[in-house]
Amino acid sequence: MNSKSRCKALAIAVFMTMAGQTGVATAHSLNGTLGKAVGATDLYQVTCSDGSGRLTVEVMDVAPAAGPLVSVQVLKGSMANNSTDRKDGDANYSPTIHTYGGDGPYYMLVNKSGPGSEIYAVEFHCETTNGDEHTGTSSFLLQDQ
Amino acid sequence: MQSLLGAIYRPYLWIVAGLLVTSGLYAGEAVERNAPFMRLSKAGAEWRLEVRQAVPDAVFDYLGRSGGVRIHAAKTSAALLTATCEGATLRRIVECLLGPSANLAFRYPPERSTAGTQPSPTEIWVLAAGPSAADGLDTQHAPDAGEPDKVLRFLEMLGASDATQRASALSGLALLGDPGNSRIHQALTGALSDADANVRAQAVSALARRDGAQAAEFLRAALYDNDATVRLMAVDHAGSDSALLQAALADSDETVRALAALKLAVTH
Repeated sequence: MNSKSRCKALAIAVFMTMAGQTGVATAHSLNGTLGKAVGATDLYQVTCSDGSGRLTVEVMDVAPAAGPLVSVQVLKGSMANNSTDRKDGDANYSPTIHTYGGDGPYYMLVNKSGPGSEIYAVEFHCETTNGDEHTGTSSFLLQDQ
Repeated sequence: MQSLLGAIYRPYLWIVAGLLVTSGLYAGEAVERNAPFMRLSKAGAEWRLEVRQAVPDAVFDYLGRSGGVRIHAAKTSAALLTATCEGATLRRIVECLLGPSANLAFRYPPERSTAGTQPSPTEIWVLAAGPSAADGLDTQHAPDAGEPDKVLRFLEMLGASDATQRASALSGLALLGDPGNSRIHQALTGALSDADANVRAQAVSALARRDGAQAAEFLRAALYDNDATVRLMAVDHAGSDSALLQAALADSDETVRALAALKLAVTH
């Protein structure tokens, strides 16, 4: 398969995936970029409202389909979690991570494994401890690299 | 040459647009990082407030008008707010927005004690400053008496020979002081001509986050920076500026082009 055919095949696959995802709730999604510097990190503060048991997060390396891997980390008090999108250029998020820090503010960091700029999407929401109900979620960008 | 490039690149743009959709960023209610958005709705007994990239003052104003409650906010930060909050009362919505440690006062209607359900306040006072990113997790919602000192410290850091220090200072200044603080504004615009690209990129980001739509001219100028990191930052904060995004489609850097295509797919 030449490169042009591969591109078309991937585009078709992506749109087939799109068709399967119509209607998916998207309330807590953010897209962002990381600059080419090795240590570029975007930092968000996510605040979970009363009644929250955990913060659930996943990240996707949107583009380019090469270069460093994109990761997300969540920190709350003495707890920390990491998830990396290990397959660059597909339409899948990294493994979902749950940080059981209860309500209140969490730090959420998005960074990458090496030099090169990246576009990412991060999906996150506060939930009850067993995840059966979404709770109030607010966030703002602290550091934008 | 132009048509050849187009033929090669077009499938890639489709792929990026597809990834955007599958990532949940373009499904009916598109979530686009820098396009301000606010919506208050009520389903049954539950209020739901969705806010994206809005200054807290504007959020309080909108919430007051839409929810029928007077909100008095003494002072809020320049940090843009993104939130989805649900609750039975507007009190819960405000508490969700500002966090559990927010210093708030409420006035309820006289019939409160006989209602039997959770009433919404008629007036809300936000006594503490709004979200202040630089203050740390546990004290972020408390009044920050040390803020002027932090501003001074960051302004001094802008004179450092180490570019990392200068970039960090700009990152800090993005969230401090009143939005109209002329000293900070001058410092940020001055940093746009810094010799280091990461410093310039941080200046672009800080201006966009502080000034919102008023930073459009700086973003457009940044699109012609000789470093892709600066141009990427400009596109990242372009919001729905289609002229900027269209221009960025012809950028020499692959990631800048991809981000512009992604944003155009969302906003148009």
